[in-house]
Amino acid sequence: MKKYLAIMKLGWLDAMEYRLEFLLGYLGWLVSFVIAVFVWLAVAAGGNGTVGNYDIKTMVTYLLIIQLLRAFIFSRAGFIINQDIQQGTLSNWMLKPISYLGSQFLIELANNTLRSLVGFVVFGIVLFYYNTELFYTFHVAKIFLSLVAILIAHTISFLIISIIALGAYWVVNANRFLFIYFSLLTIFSGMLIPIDLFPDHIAKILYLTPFPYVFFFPTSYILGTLNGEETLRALLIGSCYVLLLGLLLISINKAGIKKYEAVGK
Amino acid sequence: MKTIKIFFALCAINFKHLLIYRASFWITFLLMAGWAGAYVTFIEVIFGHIDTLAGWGKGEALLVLSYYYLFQNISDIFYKDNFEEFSDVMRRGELDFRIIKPVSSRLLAFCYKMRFDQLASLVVTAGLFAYALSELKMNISPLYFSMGILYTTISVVLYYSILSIISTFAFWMQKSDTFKVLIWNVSQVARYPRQIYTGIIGKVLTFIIPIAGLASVPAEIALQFDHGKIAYILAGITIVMMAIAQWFWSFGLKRYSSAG
Repeated sequence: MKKYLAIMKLGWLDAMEYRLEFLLGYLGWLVSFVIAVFVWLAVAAGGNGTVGNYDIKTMVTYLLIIQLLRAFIFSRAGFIINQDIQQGTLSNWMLKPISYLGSQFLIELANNTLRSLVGFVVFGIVLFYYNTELFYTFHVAKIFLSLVAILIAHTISFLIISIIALGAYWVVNANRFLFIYFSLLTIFSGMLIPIDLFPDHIAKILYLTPFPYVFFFPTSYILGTLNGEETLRALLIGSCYVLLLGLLLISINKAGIKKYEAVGK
Repeated sequence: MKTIKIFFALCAINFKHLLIYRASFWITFLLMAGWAGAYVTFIEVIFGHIDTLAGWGKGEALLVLSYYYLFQNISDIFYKDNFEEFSDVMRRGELDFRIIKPVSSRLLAFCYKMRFDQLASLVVTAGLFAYALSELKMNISPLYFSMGILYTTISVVLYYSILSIISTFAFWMQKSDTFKVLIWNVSQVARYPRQIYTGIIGKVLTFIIPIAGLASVPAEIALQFDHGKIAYILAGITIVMMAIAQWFWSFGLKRYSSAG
């Protein structure tokens, strides 16, 4: 346990060391938030101020919550894993008495926690002024369940991106797959468009995939558009996906490591 | 002239790479189909709730998306990977070998690796164009449609200059994944009609950091929306951005102290 805490500390130090890059990363998030707001303002203008069950205020609140959660949920570990396999630096990790993928998870968890703190200050203030009533809906149980939903979401996000990055065992560079995944995540996770705005038959299919549990459910829960039964069901299905994807990650890594050639090392 | 000759030599070398790794072509085809399909779905969902988006109908918005993928595909073929990997190249000390050669250092930095497997993406984009045209409620002039395609060349050059400016910051900051994510986010601006960006931000994204018009302007030319005024303005901005990108690169290069 001690060694994993030390790894988490490394993640914090890494985020602190590259402060300028950290802010640049935030600039990227800000760009995508601005795009999303403009798209939805234009959509709402075309729909006389509402789209489905969402009015402008609810939609902008939804997008702001997404931004708040994004820094924590969104995983970039795939780039690191792909690079480690591609350049052979994975060999250094293999010599250590710790789990490589477990360490990557903890490093990112620490890194993302720090990113989230900045996000909470930036977007939290904006959200507070934009929709103060939302803050009055919070109580101990809601805060606890929100944290659980967010942790499940981050874990699913990490597991999917890591599984894709492990493709680097078989192809020269898995980065292209990661970018394709980002586009799918953007559309089908509720990051850009709430799942309940999709036609019913498509929404039903999406609910069977892990994507809605990454952004749509945590955001909808915080927004207050889910009832108790829907919340519990979402948490249960999300936990099942964590288990399934975790097992898949371990088995793919086991198969891939046999193909690993430690190029350049 | 020498730079052009070297550019074509790089093309030839990289094309041979495609002939060696032929499976990449088909993988790219499948992945691009998935990517384009996701955003077509997005447009379909939006237009399931509204009739027009900032004055653009569904077919017209799909045409913007098609031009967006066209310039993205071309940039993917000729330079995109180099920008995404630039800080890694620097960190590994590989840039040293490129800048000591008696040719444009920026050309070797950003057009060194080409991805001709991305030609497969063009096939998907052609399909997307066909779908967009079938969804249009008006007939489009073949002449203006071709002019829109030709104008994409300017978008490709402008996009190259913008990415060059962003990537040159790597001389000061060397963490690679941040640039990949930033470049990806920035490119998303061009995916939608530029008219959705209103007020000061709209003006900034059209004239100062001119990303909003990269796909919109070729589509406007094809649809004869603006009688070409914005097209001339964007062409002028492209020339200015090319000069700024070159100057900034030379300025940044002076800070480079080699990693190898």
